[in-house]
Amino acid sequence: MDRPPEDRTGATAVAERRTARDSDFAAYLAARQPSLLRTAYLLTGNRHDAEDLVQTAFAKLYLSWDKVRDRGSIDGYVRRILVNEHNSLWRRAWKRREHAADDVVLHALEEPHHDLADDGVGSALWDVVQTLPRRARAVVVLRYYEELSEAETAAVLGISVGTVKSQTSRALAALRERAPQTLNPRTSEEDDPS
Amino acid sequence: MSQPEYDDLATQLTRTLTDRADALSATPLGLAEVTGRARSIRRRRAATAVAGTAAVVALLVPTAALARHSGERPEPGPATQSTTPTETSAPVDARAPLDVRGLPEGKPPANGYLVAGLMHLADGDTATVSSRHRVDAFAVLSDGTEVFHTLTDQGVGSVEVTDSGGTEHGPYPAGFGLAVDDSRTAAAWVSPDGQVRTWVATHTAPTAIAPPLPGGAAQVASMSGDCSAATPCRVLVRTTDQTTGKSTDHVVSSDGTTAPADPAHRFVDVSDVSGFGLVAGYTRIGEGDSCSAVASGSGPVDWKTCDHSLLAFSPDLTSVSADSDFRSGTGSSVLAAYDVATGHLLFEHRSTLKTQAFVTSTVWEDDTHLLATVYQHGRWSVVRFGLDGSMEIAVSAEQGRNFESPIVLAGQP
Repeated sequence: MDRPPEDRTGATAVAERRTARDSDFAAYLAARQPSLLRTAYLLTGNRHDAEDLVQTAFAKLYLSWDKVRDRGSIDGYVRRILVNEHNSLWRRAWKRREHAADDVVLHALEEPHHDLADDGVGSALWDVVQTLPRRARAVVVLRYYEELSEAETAAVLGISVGTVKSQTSRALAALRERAPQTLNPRTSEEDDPS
Repeated sequence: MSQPEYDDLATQLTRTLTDRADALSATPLGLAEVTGRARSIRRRRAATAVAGTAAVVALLVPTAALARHSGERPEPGPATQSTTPTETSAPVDARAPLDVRGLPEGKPPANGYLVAGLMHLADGDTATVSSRHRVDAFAVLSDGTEVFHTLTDQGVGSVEVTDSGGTEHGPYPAGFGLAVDDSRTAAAWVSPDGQVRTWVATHTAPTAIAPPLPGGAAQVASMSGDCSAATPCRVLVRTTDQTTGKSTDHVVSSDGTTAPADPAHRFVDVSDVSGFGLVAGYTRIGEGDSCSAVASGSGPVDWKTCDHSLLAFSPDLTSVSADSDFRSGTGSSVLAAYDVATGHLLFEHRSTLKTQAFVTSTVWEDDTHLLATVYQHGRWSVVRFGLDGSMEIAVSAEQGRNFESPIVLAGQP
């Protein structure tokens, strides 16, 4: 025969703690989700996946909310969840199955409008960024959008600073190779008759 | 000049990414959506923990240091007996040396594992663990509740629980060991004063299931039943008298009763009991030899071996795992399994002078596979052992000291 839990009277206290925790978490969610969504969008390349990614990242943060004792470290913690979630092989495989059929439609409908005052250079560069491998894209987003240091980027991705440097170098080389000629002085100089 | 080229590209990259991000119109995400996804993740983790296994049975690691045996051997079954074909197409050698180098890579453990503070589940999902002390055993219950048994550097045990709602409980003082029932409905531990406690899925506090056990240090070895009124859980607990060193095995039940694990006195140490009356354990521990046996009722034992120490029954109770009859140092140089009904040896992988591998913790992943943390040449791996003798890597090698695995398998004691 089952015996009752030792601490029935503690149920009320547990409920009160949970309510306070949810309130605390909701405030953080409201404050940080726009920023996290922007990063997620740059990682995924479309809003649908970005929203999904952010929801999962916040859900995982919620599950660990009580364990994150240093509130000052939450931004870095949730960013790490987001990036690692994005990089996970399992997720990649799942996403491929789910979106293979309607990728083109989604991208056409959900791409945000942007300023074309740069003669399409930004748009072209964005297209090339989207072709980078996920880890390399994450390095680029963290370094050039989040403007994290190499050490901070390494901490988020769980890799060495040396790997961040090499990934950055390779990503920039790929961008230089495939980006518009205006960003590739070598090509421009070769084309310059002077 | 390369630097201006880099600066141009970096500047343009920052501008492009910022423009893109700023142009995004956000759809507000509410707390309900997040908590809903969190519940889904928890359910998935719990389902993953249960998937593919009726149970992951915690194995008792015998504490007695035993010497090598001579005699009383049952007739072993065919060395290459194959009870469960795997996907491996190559012929399987059920007596191949224990050597993890070059093994094929298989799926991750179905019951999950923990390394470097990160809990890994079979679907690739991960969760950080920030317990106060080092986790030496953990379990994920059917509702997603996580139960961690931790040890301080001084060896003081405690249990910390994160319930299905994400609320932390504890730490609760604990002796050694953590056991999980077959359906992952409950986990059990014993407090230093001999009080056996269970944490049942969906509960928000531990339950003391019977009066405290008398005398000495206590260790939880295994557990069967789901702690319901219909199928009370039965927890195998060993107490050791601090003065005489004598150990006693008890079965503590959630119906409030405590009984000797072997009232017929056939065993000197009990390794595992099932809810259906099966008992495995040592029948003799001598100065230089030992024997183990399986009994299915109150009469004489069904069969006996003096080649191995019997450890734990498979979830379907058809096989029993085994390791060395001589345990010294940090692990066992052999892993084996027997047919419970016949006593036939199903497989045996033994380390050699060349391979220098040993096994520490072991859990049943399902009815036909064992998972074990294996150390070899400076690296720890989790290896999946099939009853047909197959071996494959479940978790790739991690560097670590040779006396403490950095990998903790869910369900290990």
